[in-house]
Order: sequence, then structure tokens, then C-alpha cells
Amino acid sequence: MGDSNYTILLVEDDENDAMLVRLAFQKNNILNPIQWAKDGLEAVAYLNGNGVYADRQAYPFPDVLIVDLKMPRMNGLELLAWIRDHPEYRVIPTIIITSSRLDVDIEKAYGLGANTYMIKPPALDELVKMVKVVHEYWSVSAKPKSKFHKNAL
Amino acid sequence: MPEHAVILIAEDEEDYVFLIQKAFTEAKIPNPIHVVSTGQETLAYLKGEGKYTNRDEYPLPDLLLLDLKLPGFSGFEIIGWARSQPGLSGLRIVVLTSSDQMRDVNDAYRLGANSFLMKPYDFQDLIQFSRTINEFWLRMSRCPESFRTPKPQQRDEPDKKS
Repeated sequence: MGDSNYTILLVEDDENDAMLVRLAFQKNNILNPIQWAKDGLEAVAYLNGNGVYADRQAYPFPDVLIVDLKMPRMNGLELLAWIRDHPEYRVIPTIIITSSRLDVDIEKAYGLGANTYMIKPPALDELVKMVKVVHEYWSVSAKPKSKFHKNAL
Repeated sequence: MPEHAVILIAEDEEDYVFLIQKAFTEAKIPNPIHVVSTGQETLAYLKGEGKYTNRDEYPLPDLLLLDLKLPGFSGFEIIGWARSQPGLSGLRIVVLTSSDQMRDVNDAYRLGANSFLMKPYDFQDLIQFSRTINEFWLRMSRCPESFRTPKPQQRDEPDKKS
């Protein structure tokens, strides 16, 4: 029931942070496809298949979202709220990875339906370890299939 | 401290409970494990009713491992109820099941489960499973502090379907 080759949509406004996440996956030799949206609005467009994202060969529907909280235009909590209002997308596991340690953010994120919340470590080697643990876990955890997934039941 | 975070296992198969506890011990995971074996008991624990009023002895768990097939309320009903309680939004619910039905996976996530795992029955697999759960849910993933020390709230009864 687990699937280790899941597609990730990384929602992160900071280009350096996005690159570091990709690097962390590479250093673990994890080759899962990682798509990138620069903020919540772009993530919405991606999920909706708007514009360029209509091409589902190039931009496959994600199995898992990795979401930062602090983003312009539409931040992580706003994205979670939007997803919650769209039942067809609500099932996608959302992994918050953010620098915010604020308990109120952690509480709000879970309250808005985040599956898990992790605090972004400052050092690359810790990020590499985090990505390894995330991947080991989410390879084993069954992930839902919406009608947007290929081979959806 | 992460070592003190409580794991609540809602599982009616006694032999399996014994195996899981043994696996966590083998994996040297020190966290306290509490066990409930019916839907009603799960609710009582989460509501803090009866003997579970004593939150020093029975703290709210950092993690609930929930079998879908419990006597009384089903796992789905427990998830649905927990997600209707604002004070329990920080409760991480991981479904543990022998069911390999995709429909159950979708339903569990739709109701608000955080994750869905197939039950390993091989003991070595269970030890690895314990390690993975410990690493991800207890060490890396954050639980809100406010969840561990909640304000007193009214908790409603779920509708019991016959």
C-alpha cells in the first residue's frame, strides 16, 4: 500500500530554501519528482491545473504537499484554508516545513488540516536528516488517491 | 520532552497490542504507551472521563494509533468526532489497519486522519515500524504545546449509529 515514488509539490517562496530542499533530497539519493510553486496562489493554480499546469504530463497532480508558512500573496495557512474549502483536494497530505516555532502557528496549521508540522532546521545536514525521515515515513504511509491522480480508482 | 510524549493505541486484538508494546521496547523507545480496546474507551480517554479524568496519569496523547475496526464506535466515527472538537485539532491520528482497501484510505484522510498505515505482523517489521513512528511523529513532527495542556472544554457525544 505504500508508494515510495510519490510526486511532491513544494510550496516555498524563497528560491534558496527551495534549492536546499531539492539538495537535501538529492543527498539522500531520493529521486522523487519535486514540483515547485513559489507561493500559495501558484500552488492553487497548480492544483487547479490552470495555465501551464493544465499539462499534467509535465505537471502531474501531486501526491504530497510540502508547504512553507511565510509566503507573499497567499501564505501557508491561507493555502491550508483554501484546500480545506475544496474537498477534492482536502485529502492530499500536507507537510508543513517552516521556520516558525510559534505554538499558535502549529496549532492553527493542524486546525486547518495540516497532516504534520516540522520546523525547518538551519543547517543543511539537519535538513538532509529531516528529509530522510520524512521520505522513509511517507513511503510507507498509504496516500489517498483523488480523481485527479493517474490510475485513480 | 519527547521521551515523555504519550502514545495511545486503540486496538482490540490483545495479542497484537502485546506485540506492538514488545516492539517499542525492543526499539528502545521509552515513551509511555496507553491502550484502549473499544470505541467507547477511546472516547472516554480523549474526553478525560471516568478514570481518564486524571490527566497526570492519562495525559492527552501526542499520537493516537487507531484501528479502524473497534468494537462499538468505528475508527471512522472516532476520527469524525475528534475532528469536530476544536481542542483536539492538535491530536495526530494515525490509522492502523489490516484493510488494504483504497476506499478506506480515502475515507480516513477525508475525515481528517493524519496518516494511514498497514499493520505489520512480522515482529522485525514491527520493530522497524516503531522506529519509523518514533522518528517521524515523536521526534521530528511537532505537537502544539497548547494541545498538551488544554483549557477545559465541553466535549459533545458523537451520534451512535446502530
